[in-house]
Amino acid sequence: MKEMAVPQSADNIRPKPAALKKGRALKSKRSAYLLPSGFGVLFLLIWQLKGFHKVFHLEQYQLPIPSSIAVSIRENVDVLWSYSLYTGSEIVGGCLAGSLFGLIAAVAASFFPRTGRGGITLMASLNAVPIVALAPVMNNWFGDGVASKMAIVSVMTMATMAVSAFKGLRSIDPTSIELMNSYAAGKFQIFAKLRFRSALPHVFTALKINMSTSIIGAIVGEFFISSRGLGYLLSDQIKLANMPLAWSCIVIAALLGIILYYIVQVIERLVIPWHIAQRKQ
Amino acid sequence: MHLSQAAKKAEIIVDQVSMRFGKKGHEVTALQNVSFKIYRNEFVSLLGPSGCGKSTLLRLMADLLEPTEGQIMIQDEHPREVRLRRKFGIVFQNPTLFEWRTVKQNIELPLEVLGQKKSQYSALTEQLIEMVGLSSFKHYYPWQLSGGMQQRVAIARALSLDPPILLMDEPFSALDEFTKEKLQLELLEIKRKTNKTIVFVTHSIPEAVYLSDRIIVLSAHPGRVHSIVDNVREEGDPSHIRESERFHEMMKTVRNCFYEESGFLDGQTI
Ligand SMILES: Nc1ncnc2c1ncn2[C@@H]1O[C@H](COP(=O)(O)OP(=O)(O)OP(=O)(O)O)[C@@H](O)[C@H]1O
Ligand SMILES: [Mg+2]
Repeated sequence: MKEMAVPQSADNIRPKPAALKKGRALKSKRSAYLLPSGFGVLFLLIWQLKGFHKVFHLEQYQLPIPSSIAVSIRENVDVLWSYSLYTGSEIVGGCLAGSLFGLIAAVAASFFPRTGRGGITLMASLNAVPIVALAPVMNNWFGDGVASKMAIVSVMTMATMAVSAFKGLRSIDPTSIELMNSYAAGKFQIFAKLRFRSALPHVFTALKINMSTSIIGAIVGEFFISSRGLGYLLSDQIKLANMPLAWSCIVIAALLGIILYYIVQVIERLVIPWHIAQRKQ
Repeated sequence: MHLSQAAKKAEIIVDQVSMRFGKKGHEVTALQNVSFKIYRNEFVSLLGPSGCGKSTLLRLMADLLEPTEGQIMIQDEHPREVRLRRKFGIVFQNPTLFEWRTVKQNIELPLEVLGQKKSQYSALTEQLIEMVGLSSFKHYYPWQLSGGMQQRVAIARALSLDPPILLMDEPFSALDEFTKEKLQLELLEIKRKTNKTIVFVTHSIPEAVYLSDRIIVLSAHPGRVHSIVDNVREEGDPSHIRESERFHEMMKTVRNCFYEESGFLDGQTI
């Protein structure tokens, strides 16, 4: 205990970087989870005690309370589980296919920037196609199975990835290019060692946006064309006025979204730990 | 002095080089009619005020820019040939480290580009890291280093290919006085051991006098060669050069270049 009173040596004043990082990370982690979960609990409590019903003049058949949704989830756990996998595969498959295609387009365009820029702009116009127009066409092309929703999701996600990745691949620090040129590095070496690496943060940003878009695409796609999945069940149960089960679908879809977003985030942290947004300070 | 220079081989010849940037009508003349020679194994400083075209001149020598007029020959060849055969190492004014690479990986970048095997160069990189005093930081990322430490990584990286020509753009201007003196000494040692030809951009008169065999003094707007000063360097222990009579005389000579012509610095009379 006595040592504590002794004036700190230089070593003590400046803790080792590793120790410093750990301490700060722990603190920020705790506050990062504590605050949102506190709000979540409060939100559920108000909902359960029918606070929202009073404010918005709703009846329980319009907005079921959390406990009845929980009961409904437990009663329908099997179908919800299998439908989650079904819709989840549409989301993940479509998002990965669309993003991959967008990435390939961006890479190709970056090698021929003059014509490539126009191609990317053209691709960006895909974002203007409304999903309601897309759904019947994809149904017509790919039937009412997983493939048609994956196609919808792909079309909805590829432009975002293409635009974002292209921007990343083209906005490289010019001195870094000069550095590579001074080593007489080839076009592909510059791509692999510089362009692609520094575009990765853009790629992950697009991937995160695409994950959210994909959930919308898959669920809304199922409204139009499906006999399975969370979106199908949701629209079906609303028609039957079975609100607890409809709300179960909404809750599960939201959970699915959070899980998928988190997975992308974990991968991002592993792949680009050096990026400014990933630095734990 | 001049006799021995004539006998020496010209390594870099800059002949009537002009460099203009920008579109017609809005041109900026960075360099105008610049000519000089740099001899093999020579340490030459390019000294001049900010904006006089020192970095531009270095980029022209490195074939990263093409002169608007005139030409540059390095070892009797176009700078492109020299670049493609990786005969020079360059240190930019900014460290230009890749953020996704650690200190060690940044230093290994040129060796990787060359396609060498890791086993071939790992001992060399360790040695370079040691030299710039970053042994305990070799697995750190650039953002975890100070500006001066980043610049030291850039210097080690430029040395990793052991190039016969070193082009350095104010490599020490971001460093503290202690590290600066240590690395200046180190650079002279490298020069002595390896006989590299070194072109060193600086705006510090003492630094130019301390390091160089000759000093090319540039004036600004547009950048021109103002004068070329033969820097008679003291033989013997370089750590005592700064205290010598000669050092102070040379400082005075070079400084006088800046004062003798009224309006030297950006048209201002001093
Ligand atoms: N890529 C460029 N495009 C347009 N103008 C440029 C470019 N590079 C340099 N210049 C201009 O050329 C002139 C010389 O610039 P340069 O960077 O070579 O100066 P410098 O001597 O290195 O200055 P400093 O000591 O501040 O680094 C400046 O007027 C600058 O505006
Ligand atoms: Mg400069």
